[in-house]
Amino acid sequence: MTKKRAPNSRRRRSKAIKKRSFLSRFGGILLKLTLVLMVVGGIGLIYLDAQVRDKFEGKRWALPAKVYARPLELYVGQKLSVSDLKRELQGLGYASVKKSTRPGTMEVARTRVRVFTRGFFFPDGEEPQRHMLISFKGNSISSIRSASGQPVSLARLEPVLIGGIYTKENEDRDLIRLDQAPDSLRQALIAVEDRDFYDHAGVSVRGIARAMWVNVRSGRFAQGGSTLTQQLVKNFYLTSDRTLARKLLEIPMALLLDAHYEKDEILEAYLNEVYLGQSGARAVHGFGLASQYYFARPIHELQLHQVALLVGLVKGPSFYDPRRNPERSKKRRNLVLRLLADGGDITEAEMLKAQKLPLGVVKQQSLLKGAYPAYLDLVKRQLREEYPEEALSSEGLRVFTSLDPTVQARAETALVKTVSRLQKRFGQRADRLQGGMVVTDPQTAEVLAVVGGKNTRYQGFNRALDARRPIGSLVKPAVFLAALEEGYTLASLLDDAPIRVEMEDGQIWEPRNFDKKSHGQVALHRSLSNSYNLSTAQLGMSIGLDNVAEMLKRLGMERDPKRYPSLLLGAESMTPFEVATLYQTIAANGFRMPMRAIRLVTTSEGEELSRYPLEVDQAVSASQMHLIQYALQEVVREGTARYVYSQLPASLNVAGKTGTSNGQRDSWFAGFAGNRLAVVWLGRDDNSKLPFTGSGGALRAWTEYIRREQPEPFLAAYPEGVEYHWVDEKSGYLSDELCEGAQQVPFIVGTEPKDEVDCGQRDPVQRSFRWFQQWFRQE
Amino acid sequence: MRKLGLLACTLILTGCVGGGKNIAPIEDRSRPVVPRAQVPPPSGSIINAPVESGVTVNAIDHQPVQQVTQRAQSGTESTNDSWVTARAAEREHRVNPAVVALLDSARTQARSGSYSAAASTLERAQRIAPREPEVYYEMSRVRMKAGDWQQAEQLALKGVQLSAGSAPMMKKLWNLIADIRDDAGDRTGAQRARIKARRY
Repeated sequence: MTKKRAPNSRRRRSKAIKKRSFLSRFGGILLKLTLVLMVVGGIGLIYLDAQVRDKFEGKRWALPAKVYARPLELYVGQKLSVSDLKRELQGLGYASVKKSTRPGTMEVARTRVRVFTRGFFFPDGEEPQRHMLISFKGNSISSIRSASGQPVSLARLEPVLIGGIYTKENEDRDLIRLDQAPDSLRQALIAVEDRDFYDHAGVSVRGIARAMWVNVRSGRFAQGGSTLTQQLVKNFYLTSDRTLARKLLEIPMALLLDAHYEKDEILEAYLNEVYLGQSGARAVHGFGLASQYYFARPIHELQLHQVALLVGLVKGPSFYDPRRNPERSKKRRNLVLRLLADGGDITEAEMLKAQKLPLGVVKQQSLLKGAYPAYLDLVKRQLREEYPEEALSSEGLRVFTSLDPTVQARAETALVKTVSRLQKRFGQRADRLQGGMVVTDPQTAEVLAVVGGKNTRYQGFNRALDARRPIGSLVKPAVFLAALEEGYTLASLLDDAPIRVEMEDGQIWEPRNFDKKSHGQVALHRSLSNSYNLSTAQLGMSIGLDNVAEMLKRLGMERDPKRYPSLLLGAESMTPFEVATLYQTIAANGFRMPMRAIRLVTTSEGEELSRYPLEVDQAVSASQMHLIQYALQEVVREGTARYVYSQLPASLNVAGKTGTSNGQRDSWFAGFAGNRLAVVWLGRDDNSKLPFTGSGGALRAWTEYIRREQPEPFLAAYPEGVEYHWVDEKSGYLSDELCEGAQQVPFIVGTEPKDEVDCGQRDPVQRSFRWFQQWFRQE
Repeated sequence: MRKLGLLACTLILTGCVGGGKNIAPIEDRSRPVVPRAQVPPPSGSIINAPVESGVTVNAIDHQPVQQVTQRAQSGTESTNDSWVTARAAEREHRVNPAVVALLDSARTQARSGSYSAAASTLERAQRIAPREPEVYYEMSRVRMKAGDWQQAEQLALKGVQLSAGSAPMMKKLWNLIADIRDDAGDRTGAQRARIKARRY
């Protein structure tokens, strides 16, 4: 404000008065202004204070839901090889050591594994840390003993974390408590980032002075004077744009934070907030996750040189990225170690030893996170039906699934290998070949593996869930089951003769057999195992489309199938997942069970939110199902899927059905053993013709998977109301075990043929139908 | 039929033991007495029709079982029935210790009212031994206590379907089904289940 000179006295007087009044007014304004400023500043400060406290005490971070694979159970008799166990433990980041003396380590020998587990809080109880010696015999566990030599009847490993559900910002973190962090982490952070952390009041004058001195001396901006508290404020409360206002807020907020909270609380928040890397779209925050991301193990298991590497990353996670810039990262790590030694936190010898070690960073691909896009897709779809997106990405929910990483790996290999073999064999005619696969446990209806395409890490089109294709002959068991319920038997003779059906719209449906021939009178079981279209169509038309459609729904189809005659030969389109639902009911002796990928969802504290228990519902009688299971075994032993036993031991009882869609655009196989059911689809995304059928394509992948899996054989309890009779296949009459052409076939009691053929000779039977006997073996 | 069931039970109770392989017996009690002249060979043995080409069958450690019992009435009671009971007794013993431990803790959890934890524990047991009827028996009981009659009955039926050959287990399961139906207010259904239970 400028003062004016007064021109005359009167005016001066008046001016003086004016001036006085002006002065007093000015003083008043100043006073008021100061007051206002103080009030505003005070309010601002109170507001800032509230903000600081609010965020610090409330929910600090949006925590993504964590999705876990099934925990591996260990018990005597468990079918598991040393290499299976080793792979699982590697997936959990266990270190292979000479002597396993701390959690997270394993000693692997040829037939024995000593492991020190980490323990885990499961929703149904705590699994303690265990130090165990596991012995193997062949491909199964023969004994488990604790460190003191006591037998252990059952133990569970921690579940492998397979993914998360993130916010739009894609921030991910694993929260840790300060006491979980190794001492060296705290020491290194303080030595490198903020030497006076425990002494300053949130802002360090000494630190700023030191930084300035360093900067002046080196002639460039080498050091920032920010304390850990300021860094936390910057990341935690303020936006990342570098404005003056932001810079001005940083200091008072840091002071407030320091005034309110203990140093250790601030340090703990810092440990979890700091940005330490980028995995694709996912931002890696906090030392807990960084430890998993770079070393695949929990933070408290890290060694000095690994801790030093992480601390070195704080300054620039991208610049010092150990995977992309290993040399730079190593220099930085060694500098951190030097600072630790200079500060007296470690000895010179410890420093030298740690500096000599390699970085020890795991390959990004070996991390199991991100390895199961197709399975996670299934899990997320189910979760989104029940939880809002916000809850999934911010509440830190824990989702326990039934994904079995071992099964998943085998299924992926089988599918990928088969596709590339077929491409090699058929050349151009098989290019762009794709596939989808679903594996379940038919006894529990749990989904164990999902393969969405031949590029198994690709997050795009999930063919196992979304490729809806005509199922071809996979529909036939439903047609034949409906017929059995209508009074047909496996020995009923069907007419495998041409059929013409005129549909309502005037179109003619005239199916043909694959070999374009008619086969005359054929036994019902033979029609199914050889997948004859004509006799199936004749049979289906005689029992009616409604019966078949109803049967499909009873088996688990959710949509209402269109009642066209072509339904009988599989014109209906389904996804591999839907097909698995149908075959699941067949494999489970007529008990329909909804397929489950999620076992349990809990809060971050382990409190149960939703559970997906086993639900069973007898949809078809066990005895009718027994007959179809018999015929489906014949498919594999003697019918269209004979290829199976060129690869598998005859003792491994399996059952299944091939499928090829019209125009040979889709190659299917659905089949099961005792504890595994798998459905494979091969085809092209553009729906063009394939150079092979169901047995030439999908069946190969299925067999390859089963060969790797070595599942339990399929066994059926002998249901009430079923009995076996020797039947002459040609006439459908009762026969004798010693007659040629006789086959032992199951019947519902009372439906067996009444007439008998007399072969009149005692010559040895030429054919063998012994396979079904194995079927009755019990464990 | 009933006599046979009682006989089997008695034999089990007296702990009659026979030698043999590790196979659970298969019984088919609904089957009429061997109807045809060509009777099937003795239970548990392989029909020795010559095997050639095509599919060869190599049973590894177990024998294939086709059909058992019934012949108790046709004069060979002792051998056959001791065989049956031995199998049944063996089956009881062969439950994996891991499953036994899980069943025990599930019972404890259920007794203390932690049905959720009990259900989780039983599902663990089911994954290890999916063909063990005892697991379904306990699962059914947990659902029954939780008032889910429909699932309780279905699970028990699944157990029944896996118990073929074990009369005591069949009896236990049908009695459980009767109790479930009683609780659900289905008196006639319960009555029917009890009649079934008495057959074993």
